[in-house]
Amino acid sequence: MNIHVIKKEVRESLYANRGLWMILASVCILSVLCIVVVNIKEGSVLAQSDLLQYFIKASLFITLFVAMVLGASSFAMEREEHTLESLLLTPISKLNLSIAKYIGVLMVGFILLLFSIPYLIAVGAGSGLTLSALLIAFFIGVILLLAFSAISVALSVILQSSKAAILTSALVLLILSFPAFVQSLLKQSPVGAALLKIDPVACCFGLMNTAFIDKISIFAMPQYCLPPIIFAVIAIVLLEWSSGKVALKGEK
Amino acid sequence: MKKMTPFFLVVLLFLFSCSGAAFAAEAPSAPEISVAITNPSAIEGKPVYNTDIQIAVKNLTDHEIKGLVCYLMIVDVGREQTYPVDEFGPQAYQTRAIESLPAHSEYTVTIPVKITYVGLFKFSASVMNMEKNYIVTADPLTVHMIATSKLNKTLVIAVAAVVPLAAAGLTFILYRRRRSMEKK
Repeated sequence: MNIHVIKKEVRESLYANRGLWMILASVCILSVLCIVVVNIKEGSVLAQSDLLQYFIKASLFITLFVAMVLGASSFAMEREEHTLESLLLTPISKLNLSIAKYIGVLMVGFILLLFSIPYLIAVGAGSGLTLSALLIAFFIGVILLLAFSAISVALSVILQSSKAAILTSALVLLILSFPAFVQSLLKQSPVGAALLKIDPVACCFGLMNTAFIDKISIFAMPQYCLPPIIFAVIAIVLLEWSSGKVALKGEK
Repeated sequence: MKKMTPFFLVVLLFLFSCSGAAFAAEAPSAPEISVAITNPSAIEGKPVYNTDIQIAVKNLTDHEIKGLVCYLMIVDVGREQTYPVDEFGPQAYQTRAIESLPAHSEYTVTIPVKITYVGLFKFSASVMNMEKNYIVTADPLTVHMIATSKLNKTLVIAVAAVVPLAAAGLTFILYRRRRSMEKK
């Protein structure tokens, strides 16, 4: 593993791909959300456990979205700006190059997760749920970040343009998040209930809900933990497979 | 006067016979069933409350009643809205069919609920007769879920103000450092 390539990719994710500005924008969104929820009537009557769940969901969604946009533009942008050729001429293997880009995206996502800590501490203060909220946010966040970032980097390799890669990544995120937001509808049919059991985002939401409401340890719920972990493994395997396909336009 | 008394009696009888029909038309028909939430009598809990709501459905007639359906409705008093009942537990939204209720018998329906919301609610249980198309509703059950929120609004707003400023400062510093490095 070439540490210089990883450093270069992290810097690129932060500066060249406007990762820093995306982090700033995300933090501003979280702040606005905080102020709105605290001040509206509906927010003020919600239990702290519910508020914590909303914030974890919001910060996760923002983190995943930013990471997917960065991941989807990683290889596609290099191809469009004609800098991929010089990268491919270096003695770094395609797999290492993919991993370096993947780590660069993960770093931005991880910084975003770190930025959600003060919000979670502030919202959870006095409830006794802060520590478990942080644990859950990071456990779920890291697993989903590993999975969705891998998918977006893989899509960036497979699809030729950055626009197509970003759009497809956003669609993947929306499609996989959709069952989690319409759980009450889906659980009424056997097909929907089965879908909810395998959907990684729905499982993460279920895990969070059970951990907060029923106060059960997250490690005592394998039915919720396994699908996201399996999804992350599949996504990383997809990234590994797609790294062999890194090539210039028209090159076989 | 003696001739007038039978006349008055006849008139009164006539009036009674007419008014009887009129009153009978306006009087409500006798209810066939009674519905009551028997257990619990009231709920005051925090912040999560699991309970079984027991609804007693009684046949008040001397004949069998068929095709009854029992269900739950929830009114949020504070927020002035009703809720999708399934938000109160996975089995709360399901209707319970009572296929047959023999004469003068009673049937108890149990609906498990899980209340996770804070506020004042009225739980109402209704029984619909599918054959004759009428609904009988029980007296509502008062559910008061006490707010246990210790949300420190000042702290939340302070964090919401400080973190973006810190992030903006950090972004500015990092970009300046990057630019100076590029110039070198």
